[in-house]
Amino acid sequence: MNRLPTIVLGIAGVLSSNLVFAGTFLRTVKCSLADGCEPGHPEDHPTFIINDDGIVYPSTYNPNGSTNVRVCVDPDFGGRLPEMVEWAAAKWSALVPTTENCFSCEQYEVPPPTVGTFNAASTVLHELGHCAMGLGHTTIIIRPPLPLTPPPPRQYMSWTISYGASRQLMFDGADEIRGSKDDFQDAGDPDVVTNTFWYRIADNNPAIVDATVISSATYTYSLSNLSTSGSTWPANANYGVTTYPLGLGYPGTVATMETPPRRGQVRFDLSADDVNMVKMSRTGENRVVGGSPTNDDHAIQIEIVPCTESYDLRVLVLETQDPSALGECSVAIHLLHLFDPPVSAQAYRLTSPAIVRINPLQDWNPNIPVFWNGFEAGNTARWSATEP
Amino acid sequence: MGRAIGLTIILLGAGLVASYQLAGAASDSQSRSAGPSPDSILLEPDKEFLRVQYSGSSSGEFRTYSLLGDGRLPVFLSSYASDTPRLLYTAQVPPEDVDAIVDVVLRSELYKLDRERVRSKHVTEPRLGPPIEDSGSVEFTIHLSLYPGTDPGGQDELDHTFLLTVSDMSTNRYPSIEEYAALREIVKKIRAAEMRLRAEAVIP
Repeated sequence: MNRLPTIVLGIAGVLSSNLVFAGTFLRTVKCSLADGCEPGHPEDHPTFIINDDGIVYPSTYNPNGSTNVRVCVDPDFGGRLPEMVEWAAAKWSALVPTTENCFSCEQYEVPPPTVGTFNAASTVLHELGHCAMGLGHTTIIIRPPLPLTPPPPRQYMSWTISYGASRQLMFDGADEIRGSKDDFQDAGDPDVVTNTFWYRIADNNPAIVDATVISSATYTYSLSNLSTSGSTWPANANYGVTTYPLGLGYPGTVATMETPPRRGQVRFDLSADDVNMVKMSRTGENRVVGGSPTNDDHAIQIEIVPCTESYDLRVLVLETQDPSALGECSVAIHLLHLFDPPVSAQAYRLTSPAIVRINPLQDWNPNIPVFWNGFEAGNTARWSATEP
Repeated sequence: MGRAIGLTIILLGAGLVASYQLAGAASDSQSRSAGPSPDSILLEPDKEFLRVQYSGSSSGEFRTYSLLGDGRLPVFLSSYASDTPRLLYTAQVPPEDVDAIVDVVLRSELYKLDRERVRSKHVTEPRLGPPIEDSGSVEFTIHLSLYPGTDPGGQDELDHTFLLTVSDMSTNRYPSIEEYAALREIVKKIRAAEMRLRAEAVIP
């Protein structure tokens, strides 16, 4: 190589781009090679992809008897990582839906602070949703193929998951809130958007906490059930949908599986949407509670084990493949009944061992959230009224 | 006469490019056109010749590595909330690693890489490694200056930008795709320089 003497030149400007792949169950898509999707989801079988009706179960799911997901943790953050994982594992095991679970949240497209720290425990909570429970993100707007040049425009993430979109295909309706129940696609658009977001048939409300039993009778991904609630699109639990004046009236409530936290945010519990997805998974492949001829319900929980024993998932602080990410979940997915016809619908299972990496390059806040129900968000009224 | 020779060179060059493109993604390095040699590359100390920008899909932030001709590696942080990148620190890539990076770019013809070239290989290549949730995309920008008259194609500069998903580039994901292996080699050297700096400077 030849090297010239110093010539002062400016550093080129920084371009920005953004790309997200996920579904409400992990990597759920309905997309063919002709649509620009690649075959090979899951990894062990090159000819099929996870369909929009698919459910991705935890790695230990077995219709004949499931076991708990065993998670091992490498000590880090000054020994605080195990504490964070225990906290997050308890949330996913208890499955208690909450409101006001997000401190300092906003809709994705509202610029977050550029300084401050990321809450590590909230990130662990999100990553366990992927790697232990089989959940994907609740919002998405773009999928490949991407243009080579110029880089794709910035893509915002408050929309309910809408695979097939390589440009804006959804519109926010009269409430002007992205991802809400009155979103719609232009009827004349030839690129029809596929929904992979599950919603409550009766009310299309992703934030409400009530006694509704989640099963295929009450919960679906199919757009044909939207008319029951007078909706045109499944609503997701983003900040605008829950909190804005024309929203659902659950301020400060955001799905933990929307994204990991931004700077300054804390996601200190699960929303109804997060919990309902796991409850749907817990109905097993017949997708009803109980059921016949066999009851294949499961109640898989997360159990912490030493890394010297066998485990299904390992969590550690380690250089991530993407140095700008907060954490990464690396896990493959198998079709559950590769050679037998599925019992009722497409069933997939995470493989083990999976790995969650927490990025050591980020500015972390290692504090574990303690309170919920609005207290840490500054709303002490309900806390003092209901929590002695 | 001179024009005729020039035209012949241009046509030959075009033919080489066309034959390369026809060979498509299934082609291996043997079918590629002869590219510039390392000796034809000019590295200017203060000029960026490689930029690697990661766009963390979930963090909403971008981390940019700007490799200069003398091996300095400013690392910037930015986000969609602000177009102004913030300099985090400047690491140093050793001269032998700078040379190795340029060699990899030339050997694997990364200055011609596009998504279609690697996407077409996705269909046929085995995938051993799982995909990764919450990783974003990575954009590579190459600006390599050439000594005038040293490139068979008559170029003075190799300028190219391409965007890939980080998950696809990860170890063992597509083990047989040589372009990914080449990119991993580059990224490994750049990130090693950053980690050395952080370890030496005790950056938390």
